Amino acid sequence: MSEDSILSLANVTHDFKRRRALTGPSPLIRAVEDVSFDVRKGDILGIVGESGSGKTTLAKIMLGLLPPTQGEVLLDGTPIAKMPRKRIAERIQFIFQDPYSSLNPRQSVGQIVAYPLYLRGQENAAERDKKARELLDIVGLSSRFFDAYPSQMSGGQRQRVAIARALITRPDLLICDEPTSALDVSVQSQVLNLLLELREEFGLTYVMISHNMAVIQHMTTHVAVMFLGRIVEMDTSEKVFQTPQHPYTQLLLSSTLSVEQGAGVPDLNVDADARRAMRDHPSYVTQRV
Amino acid sequence: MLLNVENLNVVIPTQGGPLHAVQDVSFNVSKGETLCIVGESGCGKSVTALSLLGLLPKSATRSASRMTFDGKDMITMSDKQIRALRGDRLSMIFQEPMTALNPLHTLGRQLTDVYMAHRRGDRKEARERAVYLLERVGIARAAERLGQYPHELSGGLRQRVVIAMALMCEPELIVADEPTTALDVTIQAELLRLLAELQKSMGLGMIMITHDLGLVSRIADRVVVMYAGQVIENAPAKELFENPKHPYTRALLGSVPNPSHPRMQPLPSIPGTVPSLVQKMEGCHFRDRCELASEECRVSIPLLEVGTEHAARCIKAEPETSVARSAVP
Amino acid sequence: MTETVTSTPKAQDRVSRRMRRPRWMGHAGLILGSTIVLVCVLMALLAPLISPHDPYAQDLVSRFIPPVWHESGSWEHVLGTDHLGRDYLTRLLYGAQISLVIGIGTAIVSGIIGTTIGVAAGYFGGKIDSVAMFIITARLAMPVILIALATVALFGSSLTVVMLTLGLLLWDRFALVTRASTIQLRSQEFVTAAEIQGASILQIVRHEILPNLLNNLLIVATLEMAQAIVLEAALSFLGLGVPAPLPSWGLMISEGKASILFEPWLITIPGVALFLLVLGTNLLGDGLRDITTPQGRN
Repeated sequence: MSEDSILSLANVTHDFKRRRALTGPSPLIRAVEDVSFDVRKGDILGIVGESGSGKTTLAKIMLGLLPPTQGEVLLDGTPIAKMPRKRIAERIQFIFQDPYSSLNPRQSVGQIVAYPLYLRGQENAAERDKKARELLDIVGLSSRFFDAYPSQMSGGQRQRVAIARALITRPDLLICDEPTSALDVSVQSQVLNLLLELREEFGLTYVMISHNMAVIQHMTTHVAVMFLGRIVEMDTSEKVFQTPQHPYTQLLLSSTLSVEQGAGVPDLNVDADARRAMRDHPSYVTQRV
Repeated sequence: MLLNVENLNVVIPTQGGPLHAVQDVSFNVSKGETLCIVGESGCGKSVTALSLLGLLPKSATRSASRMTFDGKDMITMSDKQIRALRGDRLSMIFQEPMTALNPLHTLGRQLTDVYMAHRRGDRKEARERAVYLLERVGIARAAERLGQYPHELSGGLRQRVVIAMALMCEPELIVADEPTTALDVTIQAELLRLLAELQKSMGLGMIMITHDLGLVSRIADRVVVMYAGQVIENAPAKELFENPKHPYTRALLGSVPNPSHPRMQPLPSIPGTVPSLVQKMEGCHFRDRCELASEECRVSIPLLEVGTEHAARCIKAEPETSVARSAVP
Repeated sequence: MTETVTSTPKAQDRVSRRMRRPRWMGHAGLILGSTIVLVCVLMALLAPLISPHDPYAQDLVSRFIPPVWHESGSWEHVLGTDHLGRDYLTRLLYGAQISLVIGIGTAIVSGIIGTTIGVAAGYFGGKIDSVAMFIITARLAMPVILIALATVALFGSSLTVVMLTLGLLLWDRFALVTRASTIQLRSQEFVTAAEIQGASILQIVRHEILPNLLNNLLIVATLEMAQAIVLEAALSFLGLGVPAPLPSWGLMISEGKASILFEPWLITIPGVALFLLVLGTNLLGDGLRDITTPQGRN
């Protein structure tokens, strides 16, 4: 683990018990298997995978919301399991996928954005409001939204509110779970641009979880590809996108429908046997020095 | 021409006033052709699809100067006639396979019900066709599957069943509304190939509604771009992607992340948000967000011919041939 | 090449006014219901001021005087008098106090109990939920009237006893509704967002869960209120509710049942009042539910 490392995962594995019935065996489902990586200051780490890849579970583990069955998560060198929730919130924040359910419909935008400060209890109401307005400005929302309610705003605007809320405690690391998947294409680019801008301005580090290869290719410095709970390939974005090694990575890349008129739909030719082979194929994980 | 729609208008009454969901929309589809209707949320593409199939909410008002299917007028069709058409010659595939299938009935039952509702055949015939179609859409052990329930299948398999269901009565036209959006990317490609292949072999017309420009570029023969209730560009696929004329189409294409953009640099984006469709907006709907907008954009703009079979609703788009501009019907 | 991300004023980027016309204005049931309830509340509040007589004053000379619209009625006693010569209008007005106090009091007590159980069950799930469901099921298995009768018989009848008894018995719907809503809210991402921020469970319940339950709570509260009013009337009718000489409408009906043939107003007047109040409360609850149904996403 290098000195620059903000978040570090070591051999993280997580199993879920699936309760079948009142009695009887509860089979274990391995959602995440032996995941290790470092997130260093200034990185944008992309985590790509389809449904069932374990990326959502991994996100919760990274946040410290879910203690892994095995392995360790270190934040600034300290095990995250030993840190109080509020301490973690000062360093790591989260952006949800669905801008429609990540904001409390009964709170005004100002209240939502100031909420982390309210919980921290260090500032008084006037100071909190002032900071909230500052943040709204930083994310490009006019101050007249301060008293508005989420139901009066569009998806893109709501996502900006979520970003403002995430940044108000000046965290170093932002974990974004499909931040633009629920948004229209033209709004996507607005939000992605905003994220890049904020990273420049505040020296932020991102972990971006997505299934959209085009977005990941555009936005990230490093990529980890997840398949059935394991990281099957991890390297710099350049390397992964130019010379993908693992068959699953190759499959993901070829099935991405980029805008290419006349290219037709790729013939993936992947049957059950091929998928099984992918599962058993060795991983290509490049650990950084 | 299989389906011909001219000047379709749909108004839906809401709390805040009448919502002009679809304004003056025209397009047509021929046998074997794939028409893609592209647009972002709120542009009216789904409402357009629903209005074709007579599935609008009761309170909605639909009007068109022409809407024919295989020559037959659809505007004056009774509910009974539309129902006879729907599922038989004209099928629809929705986005959510979870909600398109009834969780309480077996797959076999749902497939055969469609057949029995439209043809006079017996259940045996229907079952045979169901098995045939399930195999055709790539589902193994088709006969066994007939006895299964939707929850026993994955999302991708369910959508295949939905496609099979849409094909039970040998339709001539399929309307698919974001059929692969809810599915994983690897499954999406397989299903799209399947649809394309079925279309070719059965000579189906297809209307695909989507927001995914990449998808459109791969499968469309012709593209209709919608914005805020109106068609703002209509062109053959090749034309549209090589020569987009409307500023919105160009901006939209420009804002899709792709490897040619310098990595981690800001993407071109469209400022502002889509205007509200409640209370009719005069002039060009895009003018508040358009770099080229001027005073002349405040009047109602018709679709103007800007190329071969290529129309755009913009006075700033330069036509290729300098023939006198004429409104495209 | 940084694009401006500020929403430009020329874009129609206003905070939209979702409702041009308040929803409640179109709802007949809501208007009717709230009017009725409002009238009853006014009756109750203003009873001491507008009543022509004392509700307990007996005047054995003036017994069984019919209401003013009968030939032998008089404006002295607009709604007539009962078997003890007490003015009926006055008793009706004071009776509204009792019905409303019972109704509102019960709703509050059962609301607090039911919400606590329901939110705890919904939020924590697991064993706590199992225990809560067991308690709720046990409560549902109990016959409310019988227990109320037994309790009153044990502790004596009074306004307080009746209110507490009903409050301790009628919380099941609150619990079920809040539990279902809490389970649904729990899975909403804004609750997870609060957890991530380090909010304590109490803070989450206070800021995220309860405000979003308020709609449903209010609706259930009005329905429980209606039920409590009817139950109190029933208990008082049976003689095991509020004690005489309090002017409970149920008691008034009971006291009048002997005279049903010749002095029918003794029963019909409080009966109609009861009917209207319960109807109004139910309409109010239904109306609130209708207008507060979320309009869904854009």
